[in-house]
Amino acid sequence: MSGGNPLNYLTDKEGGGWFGFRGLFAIIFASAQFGLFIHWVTYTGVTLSAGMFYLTLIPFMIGIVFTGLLPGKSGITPKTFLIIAVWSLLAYSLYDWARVPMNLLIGVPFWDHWFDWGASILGSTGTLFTYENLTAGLIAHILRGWGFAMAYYLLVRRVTLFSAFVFAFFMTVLYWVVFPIFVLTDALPPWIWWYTAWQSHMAFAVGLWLAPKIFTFYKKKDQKDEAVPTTSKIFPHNATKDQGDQAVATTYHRKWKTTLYAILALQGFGLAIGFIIFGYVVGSQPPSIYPVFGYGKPPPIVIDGFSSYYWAIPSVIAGFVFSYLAHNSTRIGCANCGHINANKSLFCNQCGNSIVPKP
Amino acid sequence: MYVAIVILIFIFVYLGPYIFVYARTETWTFPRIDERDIKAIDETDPYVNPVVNLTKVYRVHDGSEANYTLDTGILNRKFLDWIGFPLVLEVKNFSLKASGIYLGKVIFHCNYMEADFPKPTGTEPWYIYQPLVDKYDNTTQNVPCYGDASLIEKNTPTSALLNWTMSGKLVGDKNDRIRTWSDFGVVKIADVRR
Repeated sequence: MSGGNPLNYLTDKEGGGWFGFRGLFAIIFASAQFGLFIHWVTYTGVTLSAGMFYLTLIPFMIGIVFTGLLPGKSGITPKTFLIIAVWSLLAYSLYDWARVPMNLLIGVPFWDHWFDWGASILGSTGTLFTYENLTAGLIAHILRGWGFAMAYYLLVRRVTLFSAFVFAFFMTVLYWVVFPIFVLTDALPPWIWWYTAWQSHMAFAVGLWLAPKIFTFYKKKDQKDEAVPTTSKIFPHNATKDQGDQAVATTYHRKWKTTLYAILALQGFGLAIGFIIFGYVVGSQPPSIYPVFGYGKPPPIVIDGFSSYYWAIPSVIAGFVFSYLAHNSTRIGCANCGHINANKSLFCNQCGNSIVPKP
Repeated sequence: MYVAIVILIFIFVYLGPYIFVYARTETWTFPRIDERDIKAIDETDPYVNPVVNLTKVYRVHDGSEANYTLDTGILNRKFLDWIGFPLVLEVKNFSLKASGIYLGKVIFHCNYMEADFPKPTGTEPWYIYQPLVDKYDNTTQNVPCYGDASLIEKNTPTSALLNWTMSGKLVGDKNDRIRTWSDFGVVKIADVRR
């Protein structure tokens, strides 16, 4: 959190909360996904061209006009916008890189829907399998990945590895739900499909976290005093300086152990959701004799003897264990007497020694 | 120099997966589709029921006419596409021409065209789609045939020599081909008039 009132994330006086311009912009720039969503949930009744026109192009135009009309006040300006637009290029590139070995090793054809999307966008008749359809579908795919990364940077005030993983796990769950239920060819995916969706979104998370760091690294070479690892001004005590509507550096650091345990806890709870959805989808569909995916000998849909529902139990337990470890790792040991203090303590409860944590 | 290398790395990171997709499409996806399409088209078979039904005899102004039906169609339309997903080959412009010969005379002839065979649209939920794939794997229909009833009035034949030619455009994921089959053989004639 930003260190101030956590509710500032939802509303703040200057309009930069989730219920203010940040939320509005995040929705607008994630809208490429809504275009696809309406295409799927109507079982392609609404073409992707219509979905992308009404639910992507028009929102984007409104968003860009808004950006110019509302400089500064919400912390989102054309300049911050441009910066996060560049950051947003990395996440989905890593997302697609993570899927490349899954094709080479196991044969997961991760671009199969790009042909469908392209045909629906272009209104092509005849075969789906043309380079024209592939290219149109690829561009739609890129737009969605870029839009989701934009939404993340618009929503968070500070880019952290943990928040990136939370956001990417939200995307994973959305993917796990929408595709098997609404997309015919993904109706009964083998477990490798679920795994690929998970691991590629986790790579997306790494990209979300990494992009500002790379940007800052090169920015520092030009401007030693102006690092830009955050999306907008930070008011709380840990900001080094307020640069008005410009992105600024912060001295904020979370212990690496806390981050690690928190991410592992997230994986535990998130995978439990995945196993439950997996169990629901596999259990609710009529059995299939058709082995979809792979080089003709795909992995089994369910590994015999291991119901996916049961896998949710150890995942939840792991989630709680790592949550506990994450919570404990924020506690501070006194260098003088060794007493463990609450995470916001400034002085040791035992001996009164100063225990200001090192960054 | 250093900046140029960094920019090149970024371009590679950004474009790499998409270059991979196009390369794999060219070397794996399309050849795999072609291979499966051709195999599926080759494995289709014509079907002609060895029993022709005599369904009706009725008078017309200058004589009498007989109606027959012949069950015919195309088998083995189902195939697995490049990702192993079950599809049904499209059949367009299906045509059947046949004639039944008895004692050296043509007692009926069939001349039938069907623009498109039924198939799943591909937008159904899985639980609807899968049974449709199985249903349309072997698609046959009763083709109407007609003949001069005076030839069979005195003695309804129980068999005839059937000459037939069938053709249709078979369309796979990416490839299509017109296939034509011809054959002849003895068929039974079943009198199913009520």
